Amino acid sequence: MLGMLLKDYYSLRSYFKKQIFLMIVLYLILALALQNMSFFSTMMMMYAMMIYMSAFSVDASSCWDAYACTTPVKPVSVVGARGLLLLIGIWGLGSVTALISMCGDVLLFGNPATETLGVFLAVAVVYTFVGIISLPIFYKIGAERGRMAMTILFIVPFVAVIWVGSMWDTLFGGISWESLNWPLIVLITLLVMVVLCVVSFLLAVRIYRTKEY
Amino acid sequence: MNIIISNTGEKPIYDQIKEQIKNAVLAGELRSGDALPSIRMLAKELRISVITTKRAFEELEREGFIETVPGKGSFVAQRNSELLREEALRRMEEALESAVQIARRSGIASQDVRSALEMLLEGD
Amino acid sequence: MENAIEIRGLNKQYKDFALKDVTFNVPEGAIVGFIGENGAGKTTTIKSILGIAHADGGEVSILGSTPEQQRRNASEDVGVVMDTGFFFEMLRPADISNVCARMYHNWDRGLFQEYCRRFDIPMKKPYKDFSKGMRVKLRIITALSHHPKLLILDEPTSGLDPVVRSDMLDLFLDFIQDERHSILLSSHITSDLEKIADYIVFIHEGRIVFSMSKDDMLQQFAVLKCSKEQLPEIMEVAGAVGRRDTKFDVEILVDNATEVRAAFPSVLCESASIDDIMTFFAKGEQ
Repeated sequence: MLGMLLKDYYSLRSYFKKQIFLMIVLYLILALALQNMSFFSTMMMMYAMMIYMSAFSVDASSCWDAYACTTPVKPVSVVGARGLLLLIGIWGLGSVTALISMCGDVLLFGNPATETLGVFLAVAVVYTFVGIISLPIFYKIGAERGRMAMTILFIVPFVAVIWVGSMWDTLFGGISWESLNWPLIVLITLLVMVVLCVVSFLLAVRIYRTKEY
Repeated sequence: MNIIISNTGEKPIYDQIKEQIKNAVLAGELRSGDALPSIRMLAKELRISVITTKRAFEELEREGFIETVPGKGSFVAQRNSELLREEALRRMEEALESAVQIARRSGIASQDVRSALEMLLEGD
Repeated sequence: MENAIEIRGLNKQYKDFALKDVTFNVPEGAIVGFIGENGAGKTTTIKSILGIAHADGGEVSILGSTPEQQRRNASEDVGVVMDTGFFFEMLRPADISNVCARMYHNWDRGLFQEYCRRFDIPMKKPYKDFSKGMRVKLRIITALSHHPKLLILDEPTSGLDPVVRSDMLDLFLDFIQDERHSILLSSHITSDLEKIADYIVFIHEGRIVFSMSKDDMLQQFAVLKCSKEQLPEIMEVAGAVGRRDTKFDVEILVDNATEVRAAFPSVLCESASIDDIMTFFAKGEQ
């Protein structure tokens, strides 16, 4: 698995360097303009998603998967490395940048840290869901169509939140936002996310193992 | 040791190799007990198939010119003068056969052939 | 002596193409040349051997395993060069070596570096900047540097100049010095195969036409050229497998050259090259 992550690093290295500089500059400008650092982690997690999608495109362009069949690399390693790339990108990069922006927000702009934390967690969960569901999809239908599918998938949570928000009273008339058992909701979400990760991973491995070229 | 192969020409390559090794043995260039190159090394150097070199060596062994020791390689067989004489005789007869054929095709009389042979045998 | 690869009755159906009853072996210690026109089924056969494509029927054994086992446990002992499928072009040879070191137990860094040095391949340049010849060399040395026992190559030297091809032939011949090593080489460069192949397997429209030793093949097949008038008499003896009529003569490919030459010593009967054999089979089917 480490070998596969190394391969992805080598493949995307130059892409990294170009994109990240641009993003940091953009971000600094926005942060100063809006006096708010909370979306630092959001931007970085979006960046992580771009890397994730590019990894599939890069493999497709060099017909890597067909070649990998002839090497001792196991399907679990290939798929696992891709999943790790996603999760480390979102949660690793995301939490580090969330921490930085929380400190920044509190020290520089006097904004509450909870806002940043909330934003980070919400976005990280959504991105994880989208990314991990896309994993078997990418292996099933290929990199290009996978990209489109993933982009469409992004819209789902967005629309869902807006719809639930507008229908709140009809659906849950009487129950207020604050009175919800948030810790329980968070726990359930995390549990669902973990289960989803495992199921997607196993499904993706199965698809990859039996794929023909 | 030199082995020079023609890729064009009708004579099979294994035959050419066989002939040249035989010649070397008959002429004394290769002596009893001398090691021959491995069939794979020979194939690689001459850029031919291993099956070809293998066949050449197998036939040489069958005709008694070389011996193959498993794990060690092939060596020129102990000098068997009987064998060598037979081989030399065979070649001489082949050459004479060619001469006779030419004579027949061109209508030269047997008597003339004999005279020519006598002259050649005497004049050395 | 074992067979490195054994194929019995391989069948695979695609929409407008099928492999039918493909049967041949790659003996240990041998170089098997796999020939056929484009689209004849060489790549499909190779993919089926490696487990990249799933066969519809038949048995394949590669180093004693089935293709599914081969793909799953992927034996370290098989080195593969296909015309598509390799690392992404932004990788440098040094990067490839680092990744391969983690993929193969037997990856030999020293050997890889030595090959790169020998063939003037820069270790620190992304290989997208390489010439075509250098790219192919890189793929071949990558396949060799994990000490495989079996090399499978699908048209590795197409489009290369003769000098580079000669270097590659040397590599293959070096590889085969160990008599437990074997090579399956599919190629259009029939002159190379005429030199180094031990066996030739000819596939045409999804079927194996013949599988025989190269020496036998070059001895048995010949191109006979004669006049139209001489033809009927000759055809009684000749095993004609293909025919080409020109304005000036008739040319037929025969598979029993020795008999024909004995029966008709004055008729022109020249050794057939692999190219001749392929073209006559493909075109002159009468």
